[in-house]
This record gives sequence, C-alpha cells and structure tokens, in this order.
Amino acid sequence: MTLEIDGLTVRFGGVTALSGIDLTVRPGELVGLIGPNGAGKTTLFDCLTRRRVPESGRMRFEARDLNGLPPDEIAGRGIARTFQHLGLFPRLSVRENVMIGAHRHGRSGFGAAVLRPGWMRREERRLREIADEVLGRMGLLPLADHPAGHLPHGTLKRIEIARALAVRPRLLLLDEPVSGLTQDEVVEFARVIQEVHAESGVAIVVVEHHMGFVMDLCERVVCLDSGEKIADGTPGRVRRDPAVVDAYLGIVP
Amino acid sequence: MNIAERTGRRRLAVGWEAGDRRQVWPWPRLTLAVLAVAACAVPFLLNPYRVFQLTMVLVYGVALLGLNLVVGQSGQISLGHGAFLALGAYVPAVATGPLGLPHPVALPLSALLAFGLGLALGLPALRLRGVYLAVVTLAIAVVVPPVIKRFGAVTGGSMGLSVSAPSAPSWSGLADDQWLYLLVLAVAAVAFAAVRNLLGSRAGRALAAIRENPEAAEVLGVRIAAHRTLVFAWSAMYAGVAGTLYAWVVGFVSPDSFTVTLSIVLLAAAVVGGPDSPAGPLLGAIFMTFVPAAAQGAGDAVPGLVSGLVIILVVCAAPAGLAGLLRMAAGAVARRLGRE
Repeated sequence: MTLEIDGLTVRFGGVTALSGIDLTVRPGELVGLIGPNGAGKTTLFDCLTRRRVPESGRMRFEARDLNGLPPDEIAGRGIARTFQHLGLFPRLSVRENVMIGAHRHGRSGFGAAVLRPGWMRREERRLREIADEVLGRMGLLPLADHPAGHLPHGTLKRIEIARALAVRPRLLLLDEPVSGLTQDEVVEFARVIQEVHAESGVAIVVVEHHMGFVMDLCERVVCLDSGEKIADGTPGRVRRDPAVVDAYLGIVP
Repeated sequence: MNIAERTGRRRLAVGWEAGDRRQVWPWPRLTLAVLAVAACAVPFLLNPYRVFQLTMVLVYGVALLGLNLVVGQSGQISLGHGAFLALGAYVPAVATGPLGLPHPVALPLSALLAFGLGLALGLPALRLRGVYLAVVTLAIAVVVPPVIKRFGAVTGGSMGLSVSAPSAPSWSGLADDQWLYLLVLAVAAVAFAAVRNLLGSRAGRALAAIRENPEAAEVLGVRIAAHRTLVFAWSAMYAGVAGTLYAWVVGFVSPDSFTVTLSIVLLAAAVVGGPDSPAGPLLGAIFMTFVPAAAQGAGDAVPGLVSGLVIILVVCAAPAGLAGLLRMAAGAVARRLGRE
C-alpha cells in the first residue's frame, strides 16, 4: 500500500475537523477527495505533510510511519503537495521555484556554496536538469526565467504542480488544482494530470470541488462530510450515493 | 522595462545555474573592473585621513555584508551585531598583545569564535522569530560592554586596550596605513565573493524560499531551523572578522566603542544601504562613515539628527535603500544610452 490511514482524528478546540478517518491509497492510484467546505479535506493533507499534528490515528506511507516525522522530511520520503491558495515563491524565477522542488535531490550546504567544488557545480547542473525536464513536460520552459509572481492564475497553478513533480514523488497531493480556472483550462489540466499519472505512475490524491473534473479524472472518489467519511467507491457509485447527494451534491448530476 | 528597473528592488540572488540572465545595467564587468582599479589606487592618491575613512568604509562593509544575510536574506532583525564586532575586536587585542600570538592568527581565530558564538546564540534565538529575535539580540548587545568591563584583567576594563596592527613588510615599500587598507580591501573582496557564491547556490535558494514562503519551503524538504541558525552564525562570523579589522585600523578597543548604539547604527545602515542588494553594504557603510563626519562641524547633536533624518527619508522615499535608488538610476541611464 502507498498510503494507509487508520482512525485519524483532529480537533480544533471543540470542533472535530476529522473524526476517525480510514483511507488507503494503492500504488499508482488516482483518488478524488470531495466534500463541502469545512469537511476536513485540507486538514487531512496538512496531517499527511506534518503541518498539523492529529490527536489520534496512524498514518503509514509505504509501510513506514509518518507520525512524528518532522515536516521537512516529508519530501525526502517521496510525498509532495500543492496548496489551495498557491504556495509559490513569487520573487524567484519559475525555474528557481521548480529547482527548490528538486532541493531534496542535492546535498550541498553553505560551505560547498562558498568554495564551489566540482561536485557542487555538477549537483547544481543536475538540479537544473531535473527542473528543466519537468518544465518541458508542463510546457513552461519559455517562462523559465520569468519571476513567478506576475503570471496568470492558470500558469501559477501549473508551476506549482511542476514544482511538486520536481520532488519526484510517489504520492502527490493536489489541493484544488483547478479552482478559479476557465472551463478550457480545466480540461487541459485534467489531460496534464492524466499524462503525468500515466508516465510516472505516481499515486495522486486530488481535492477538488469541480465535479466534472473529479468524476472524469479519478478512478476512485472519497467523500468527506463534517470530518467523517461518508462514501468511498467508483465515481459512478459515489455520485448516486444518497448520503453524498444529501450532504454535498444536492441533485444527482 | 523589467521589475528591477521599475521598483529599484533587486530580485533575490538566484544563481547563474538557475538561468538568471536579466540585468539592469549592461556593463557589470567593466564597472566592476573600474571600481576594483579605483579601490586599489585609493591609498596612493588620497591623504592618510581619507585612506583611514575609506578603510573604515570597507570594515563596516564587511559587517553589513554579514548583517544583510540576516536582514535581507532571512528577513529577520538582529540588534546584536555590535556584540560580535566587539568579540572580533578583542581577539587581536588579547591574542596578539598579552598572549603574544602572531597577527595572521587573529583573523581566522575571531572568525571561528564569532561563528561559534553565533551558532550558540542562534540555536535558541532563531526558534524565536521576528520581534523576539530582535529583543534577544538586543539583550546581547546590552550585556556586552558591562561584561568587558567586568573582566578587566583580560580586557583592560573601561580603559580599553591598544592593538598593534600588522605592519607593512619591507619589500612592499608601503606605509603601514596603505598596507592595512589593501589588507582590508582583500578581506572585503573575499567576503563579498563568498556571499555572492552562497546566495547563488542551493543553500541560497533555500534561504530565499524560506523568506518567501516558509510553509511551502518546508514541505519541499528545506530545513528551516538549520538554515536560519547557520545563516545567523555566518552573519556573526562576518561581524567578527569586521571587528578584528576594526581593531587593527583604529588601533584601540574599549567597551564604549561597542555600545547598543553601534548595533542599532549597523541595522540602520543595512536598511539605508539596501538589505537585499550586493551594493547595499558598501552604500550603507559609506552612509555610516561619512554622514556623521560631514555633520560633525555643525555641533555635537547634529550628526545623530542628520543620520536619523536620512534614515527616515530613505525608508519613506526608497524602501529598497540607496542600492535601490542606484539601480533605478542605472536602469534609466542604461535605457537612455540604449536608445541613442
């Protein structure tokens, strides 16, 4: 199993954000995570990337515990994420953003930076190659030297995915990758994510409110409501699940 | 017109490897060469007092290079760099005086000691961030002069110690102050090159990432606490080296040279010069050396008043500092020349 979550519970004061969530993700699976705002989707991501400490429950990635791991070792384990409200470094160039995604593939520190030995320069070239390869795949090479702060929203979303891919993850967590995009861009994004998934075989969990996007893209859909899992199955089944319709979808689409 | 030209704000250092080829000023190498030649010619063209002043500019420049690592690159505030300067200054005073060690030992020794002290203070202080770090470092700056006075047997107490500087070797035919200027210039050049290399590397990118968005940097595997602590220690090391150079140039150290005011003036000079620019430390050091000296004639309280006014003016009118103004001017000149 790529990811196994057992009985994950998170409370903020008196509010229970997640209560006893169980979830497994198989290697190379593409799972959609849906649910109304406040259902606990982003909180689940925050637990997985160790930004939030759960009250109880176990999280295992590739049969190793994630509990107690410092947040900066998550990338080293092979997990990458994007953020709901863009987490780019606006004053760095697009390429630099992606090179920081490749940070975990290098080891040079302050001393090597100052003395610039041969191995450090080779490492810099390698990190740059990793970045350029991802940028090429995402069609971003023409923008590589542009500062990441002043680009259209859709492009920024794309850069963030490129940066996460530079980690070379085995589990990719996408938090609302198509929010605020036009219909054309949503279709284009679905295609890009499918390509990435097919090429690299990375397991992906995607949180999204755009139902068409989730239902077309994902092999499996999980629905959360008020911190509880209310459905887990194929898109067709979840779409018609009365609990899901009641809590989230409203009408059967 | 690119962003740097429009706002006068330099993009963060990014490195040649990362492909940054944009520039405001089209002749950086030529300008640097002219500056280097001018800097080397200074001791042979100017009178000894001017040479002394420019040596002090370089000394403060080294300290500000280090302080910029904390202020400009990490976005933190240190009010305690005067303490590291003091440490660096007392190393040659004690080591080459009472202990009788040779001069060349003093510089690496104070670099090492200041680095160690920076690391030791940085470990707890950088868990505290922003204003808390400012307060902790301020406490260090406050504590240092009394501590120096307390251990009078070693430090000479409030009387201070005189320091002998390395004298010019006979083969060079230089006067001692000329030799010292060139020595300081060489140290400053090495310090500058080291910072450039640092910021254009994987570690420099990580520092920039931490400043821009710590949460995202952390998720990508950047170790925030380690980077913040190390950059603080490097910064302290620069201040220590500057302290040793200061002691050589001035020839005398006393606790009153390293009061809290020095730390505050250093921070002000870093901001006035431009905290995220390579030219910032030099401009800040020029401000620190020449503005009080120029205002001296008008009365006792005037230097402080004028410095304060300049600080307020620069912060209001040019948030990217004097380096930002220079950058805007360079952009304008380059555009005009390019059009004709």
